[in-house]
Amino acid sequence: MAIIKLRSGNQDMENYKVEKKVENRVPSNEMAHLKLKGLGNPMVEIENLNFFYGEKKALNNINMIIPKHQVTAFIGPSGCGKSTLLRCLNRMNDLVESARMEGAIRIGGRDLHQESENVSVLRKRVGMVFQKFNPFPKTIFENVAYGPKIHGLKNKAKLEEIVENSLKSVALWDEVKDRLNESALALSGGQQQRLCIARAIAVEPEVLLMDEPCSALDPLSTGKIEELVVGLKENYTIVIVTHNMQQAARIADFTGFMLLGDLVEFGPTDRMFTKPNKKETEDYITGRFG
Amino acid sequence: MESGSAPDTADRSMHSIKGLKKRLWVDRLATNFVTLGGGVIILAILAILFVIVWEFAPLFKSPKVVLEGTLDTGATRYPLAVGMDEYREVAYRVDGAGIQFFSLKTLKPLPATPLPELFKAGITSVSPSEDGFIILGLSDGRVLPVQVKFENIFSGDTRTVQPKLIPGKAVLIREDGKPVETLTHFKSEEGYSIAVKTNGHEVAVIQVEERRNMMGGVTQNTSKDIISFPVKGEISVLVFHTVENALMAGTTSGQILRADLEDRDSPGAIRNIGKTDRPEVSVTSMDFVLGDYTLVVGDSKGGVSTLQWLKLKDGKPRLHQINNFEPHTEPTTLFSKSLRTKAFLSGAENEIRVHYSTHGETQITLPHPEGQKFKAVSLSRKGDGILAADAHGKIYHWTMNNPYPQITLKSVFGKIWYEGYKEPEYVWQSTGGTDEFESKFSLVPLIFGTLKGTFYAMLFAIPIAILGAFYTSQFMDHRLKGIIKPTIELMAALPSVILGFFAALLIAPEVERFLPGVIMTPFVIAGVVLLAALFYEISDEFKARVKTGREIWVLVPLTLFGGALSFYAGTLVESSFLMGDHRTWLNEVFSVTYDQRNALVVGLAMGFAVIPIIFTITEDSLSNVPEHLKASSLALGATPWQTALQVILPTASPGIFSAIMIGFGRAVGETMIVLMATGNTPVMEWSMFNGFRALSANIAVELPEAPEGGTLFRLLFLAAFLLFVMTFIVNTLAELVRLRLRKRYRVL
Ligand SMILES: Nc1ncnc2c1ncn2[C@@H]1O[C@H](COP(=O)(O)OP(=O)(O)O)[C@@H](O)[C@H]1O
Ligand SMILES: [Mg+2]
Repeated sequence: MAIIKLRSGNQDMENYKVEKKVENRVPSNEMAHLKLKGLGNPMVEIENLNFFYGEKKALNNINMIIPKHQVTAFIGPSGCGKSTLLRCLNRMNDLVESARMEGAIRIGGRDLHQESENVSVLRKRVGMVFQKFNPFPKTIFENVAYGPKIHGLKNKAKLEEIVENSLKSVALWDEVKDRLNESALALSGGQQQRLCIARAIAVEPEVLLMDEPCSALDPLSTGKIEELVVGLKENYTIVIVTHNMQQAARIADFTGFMLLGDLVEFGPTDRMFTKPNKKETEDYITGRFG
Repeated sequence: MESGSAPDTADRSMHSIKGLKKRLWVDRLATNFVTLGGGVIILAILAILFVIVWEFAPLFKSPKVVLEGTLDTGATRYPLAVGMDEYREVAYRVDGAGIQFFSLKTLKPLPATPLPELFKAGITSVSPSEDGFIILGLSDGRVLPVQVKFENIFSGDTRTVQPKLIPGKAVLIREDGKPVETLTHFKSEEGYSIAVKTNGHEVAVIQVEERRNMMGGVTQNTSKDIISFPVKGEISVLVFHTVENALMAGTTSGQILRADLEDRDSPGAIRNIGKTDRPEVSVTSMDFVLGDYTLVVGDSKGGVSTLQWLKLKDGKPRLHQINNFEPHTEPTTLFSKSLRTKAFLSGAENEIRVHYSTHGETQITLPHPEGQKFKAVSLSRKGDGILAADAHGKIYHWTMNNPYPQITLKSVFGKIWYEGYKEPEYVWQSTGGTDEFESKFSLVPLIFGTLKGTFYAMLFAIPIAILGAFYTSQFMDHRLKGIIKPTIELMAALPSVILGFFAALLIAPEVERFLPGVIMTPFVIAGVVLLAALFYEISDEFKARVKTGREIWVLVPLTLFGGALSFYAGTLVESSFLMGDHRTWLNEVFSVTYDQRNALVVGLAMGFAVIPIIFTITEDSLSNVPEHLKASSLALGATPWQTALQVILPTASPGIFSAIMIGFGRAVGETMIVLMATGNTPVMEWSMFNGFRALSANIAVELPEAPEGGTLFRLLFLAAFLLFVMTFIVNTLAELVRLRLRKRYRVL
């Protein structure tokens, strides 16, 4: 098994191992099925992923393919590792000092740790929206323009264009266009979360990770965000963590059910909710669990 | 069962109500207690402030004058002079017939004191003096010195003042036997000099030397001289300028002439040295205030101005106008001075005014109570009473309550042209060698000193503390931070007297020895660290070895190395570019003198004292920036450095601002370090190589020399008040700005 440390040293060797492993990989029937159906135009490929917080194993041998321009949801009881898995995809787990990862993740065919020195570029490709909406204490404009700016865009007109487009794609433009220079913190919760989504897509990521983006919102705002997510999949591959099964059912094309660090089952949402393959999935979905 | 359960429920509900009541009560008690505590603190601070204001407020009280008594002498002749004793119990009045004493308590004449030395002559003029030694000019051309003496006789607990006249030897001055009309005199240890106008442009100067012989008798040695002045018009007043040994004469045409008595034959020894403000206006009175530096000139249009005999740029002494006072409406003919302060009195026939020469303000105006004409005035020795005799035989006695005549807003905060100075300046010099010393009470140099010390301390402390906190909170390894932070916090507990002691005895001499090195240190260290950073960027091996958060293990040796390097380079620079000695070089190239205990040393020591506070508060506020803000910035692909600068720093800015302001407040109030590490010279120069005197240090330095209730004592309270106000303003401003920033960078 390939062992990839977060700050990896000898890359060639490890990549070699990874390649080898990939050949030996036996894709599950489901995967093969997906690939055959052409649905599984893979955006993210996760292979034999194990993840540890110190001694504690948080993810256990995860293998999956996340298809392009689809909404993929992770569900499962709290503490099962949904966020951890999500955070592996943009290497936010690097910030946790004791964290350690084994296995391989490829996004758009490129191994995450290949560009180990440039997390910055990776995170530009893989944006993230957090559970707690967290706009910067800056103006609305500055919030959206922040990403493009740190990636070196200085042209004012271009920035304005990006801000406008990003706000339009989260349906916030009409609400805030007259007060772009006011503090983002004056917005309502739902608006703030949409602003955070706008902020994330302003850098034009390929993948957008969302960790329970609606858990702190009222039903009305939640509805808006859900609508948005469905709309956004046209341009982005979306991976969303939710503890709300109805939400997954409403918006996700694919759903993965996790339990205690294992990916128990992964497949098209319809089938997952109507004909789950595993007993645990069924128990969870029918509410007999957690 | 039922009967059992009912009381149980009741009991429990009772119990819970009781419990609720108790909790509410405790809650209220706690609230009240906290409120009370806060209230007591505010009250205590207000009380301190009140005491401070109470102590300095009398400095700015306007003077009070009370007409103490009016005495009708019944005399018909015009008074020529009046005077009184130190306690203002006995007054005398001189007129053509002689000298008469009066009691100011009973307002009755005292037994007559005949002057047999007058023979048949009458008194035609008097050269008065507040010290009681007066010269009478007589109608037969003679002058008669008289000592008016007041003896204090104690019988039991009561003191009575016994006046006495001790006449000296009369001298014939006007050999033509005409009456003596314009005269002046001065008294010295060896005797006295008298100048008498003998005609329109000539003055006779008599010098009388008195020597006590072994038998206790006095031998007198009299010499006489005639000085001829190049006068336009006529001489109208005469005065000796004792400190320069010269005689000055005012004329009816507004000239002021001067005769050098020391070197009478040199060219220019006798010449016209100036004019009054209004030429062609007769000089009607002229005399010096205490100390014989400041000349007061009164003219026939009522003008009153002070002048000083000064050497300015070209080195030639000249008479310079210092202050102009509000003019009288009638000719200024009367003058008297305090023998304690620089206060003096000018008078016209219709009114008397009391002025203060140092700051040039008129403090009291007294019109004649009955609209008559003043003919003679005297200010009491202590400057606490005024005596004035009018043309109708009445004497008026005022008590004046003006204990701090020298202190006005202008003399404390404005530029003052002090005696012997080349221009108006801000000077603090509270005590001098003699009684006649003009104390200089400008608080401006002290405020300046406080700001200067604070400036240099902050210059040193802010970059180090804030950058240090920035590194510690954002990049440093957590375990290391756990050691570093408490250590720096511990530094704050270091008593400032120890820092001051170190600064004065260790840092100051070393800084003096290695000055070029010390100045170069920050630049050399910055250079060395930048080089290392460059090396880090290009060398992968180095990069792999130095882990993020552990750079300190490289940086500390680098910094030490940089310091040592700059000290070594400093000695090289000194020997090859600075003529081998930076002090002479500074002096010759920039004409800057180097004080060993200077602002640089204070900056280092006081900086050291404020670094822990600024560091701690800054570090806290940086660390308290919510993790999710940092995370969302990183998730957008920002580098940790971009995140720190663009998200963490602005969000923490209110806290950082508070940190700076609290450090500033601490530096403003700091006493021991500035006291010990500067020379405490109240000079106003920004140079870091000079010392200064801070408000706080000034209080500590001068307190032992300030008698309770005195001017200095109260001024020290004013200094304390200013310190209070400065810290208050800084804190209020800080709070206002902080609140605004916090509103702007509020985080949900
Ligand atoms: N920073 C961390 N350090 C140590 N353990 C963590 C950390 N974050 C999460 N965990 C642990 O990893 C497990 C998975 O957590 P998480 O991925 O947050 O679950 P979920 O998002 O499904 O609720 C949990 O047991 C949690 O306690
Ligand atoms: Mg989670």
